[in-house]
Amino acid sequence: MSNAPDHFAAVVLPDGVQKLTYERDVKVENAGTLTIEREDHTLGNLVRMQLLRDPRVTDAAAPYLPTDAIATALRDLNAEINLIADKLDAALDAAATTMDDHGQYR
Amino acid sequence: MEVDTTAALEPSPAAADASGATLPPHLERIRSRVEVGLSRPSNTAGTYGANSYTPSGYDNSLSPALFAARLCMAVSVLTDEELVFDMAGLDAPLVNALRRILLAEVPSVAIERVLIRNNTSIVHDEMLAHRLGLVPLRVDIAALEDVPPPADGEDPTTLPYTSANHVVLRLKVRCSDVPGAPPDAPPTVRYKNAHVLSKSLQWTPVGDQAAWLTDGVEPVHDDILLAKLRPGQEIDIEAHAIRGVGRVHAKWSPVATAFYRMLPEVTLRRPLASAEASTLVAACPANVFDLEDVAGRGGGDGFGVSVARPRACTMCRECIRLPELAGAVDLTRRREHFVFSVESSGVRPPVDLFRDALDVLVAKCQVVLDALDEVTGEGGGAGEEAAEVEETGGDEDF
Repeated sequence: MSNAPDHFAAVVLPDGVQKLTYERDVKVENAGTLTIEREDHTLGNLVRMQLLRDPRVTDAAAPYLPTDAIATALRDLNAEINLIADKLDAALDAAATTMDDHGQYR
Repeated sequence: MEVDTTAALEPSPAAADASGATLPPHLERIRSRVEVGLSRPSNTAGTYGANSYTPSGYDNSLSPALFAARLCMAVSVLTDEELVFDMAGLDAPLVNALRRILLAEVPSVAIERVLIRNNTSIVHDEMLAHRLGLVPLRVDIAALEDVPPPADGEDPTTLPYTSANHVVLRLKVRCSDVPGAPPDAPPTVRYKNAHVLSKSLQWTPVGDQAAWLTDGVEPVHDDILLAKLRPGQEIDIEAHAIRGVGRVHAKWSPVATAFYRMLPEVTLRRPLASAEASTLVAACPANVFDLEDVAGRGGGDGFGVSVARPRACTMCRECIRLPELAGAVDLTRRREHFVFSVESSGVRPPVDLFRDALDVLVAKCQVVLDALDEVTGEGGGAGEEAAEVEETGGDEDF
């Protein structure tokens, strides 16, 4: 048991470890490696999708810094998630008006 | 019984890009459908590259404005324990992130430490503690604070809890004979407290908790069997419950399950003769098809088939397996239309859990954005300071 990692180690950033580190590529100007600590596929795959959706990322013609690309992707994601929350409220309202007919809603 | 929300959903305009251009049908099928073939599904991977279809004149990029125009939602089931809704016009990674967050990162309260004063039951101490941890508890989650992570070198198992971040439940049960009970009666009749159930967990307020935890603390279900006793055996324990997330231990997962499926699409490729129609209707175990009387409407001989309940389709492929129906049915799933189900473990209504999942995802993005500001803003005076202030707020959310 003694070599098992602590439960909270999956969530809490260890001392002296940065949440995010960025290493520039030594040869290509608009390339680099971002390392995000204590995150998993939940955010990783999501950010990857959002980055691919950015024409300036897949184009790679104009100089576009990876840090700017990630920041844009994350801001877009925030906006999109808030849109989901709004539409969910609207859908719940719509459901509340029609649901008595089915007799299965609260 | 689920309501068919297809009619409630506006048609998703995802087929058109920002300038209204669409793909030719064969490419649109690749972009927006997963094909369910006889031996395997094909075309399973989504195409997210912004310039993937540029040669065909279609812009595959995504902006929040376009997302807003495409997103459609409709609720089909809403109870205290279950929420089912449709989301159309968005990509799998976003829906999957929400699913994963519901399972692993929306907080709830569960028993974390068990102090055992006496346990003479047949259930071992550690097994009893494990069973207690899995009991869903109804607590006002917003009223409790997170237990702070231990400092470097501090033993997390002995870290003291405070009245602000934990609740205490007592379980004190002793089994005894019931005088005069018939000897051949079941144990629950012959003995008092033969079964120790979750309803025996009694909340004991710590400090002034009784004043602000006004709804109290109780197990969601009264009848979870924790142990069985025989006369003379006793369980006397004190259990400490704290906030946590499913990522640390599954007992904190607030959902029984959360899952989504892509909307099934069942299309008839050719008109069917009467015999074929009957074969198809009989072949489908999910009862997707209905026989239609088409003779009176100039539809040929006798019966035809209609796809009456495509949502019921489980993609079992019986309808495309039969040689006599070869080429009759086209089975696909819509890649950008999800039927999302949240089943709460009962600790909170599923709508609240989903809203929390959205908040958690926003907070995650914000934490990374703030960390990014810190990295890129190095040496840049005011901007850096502002980023640090935000970082503190972000950490609390996280």
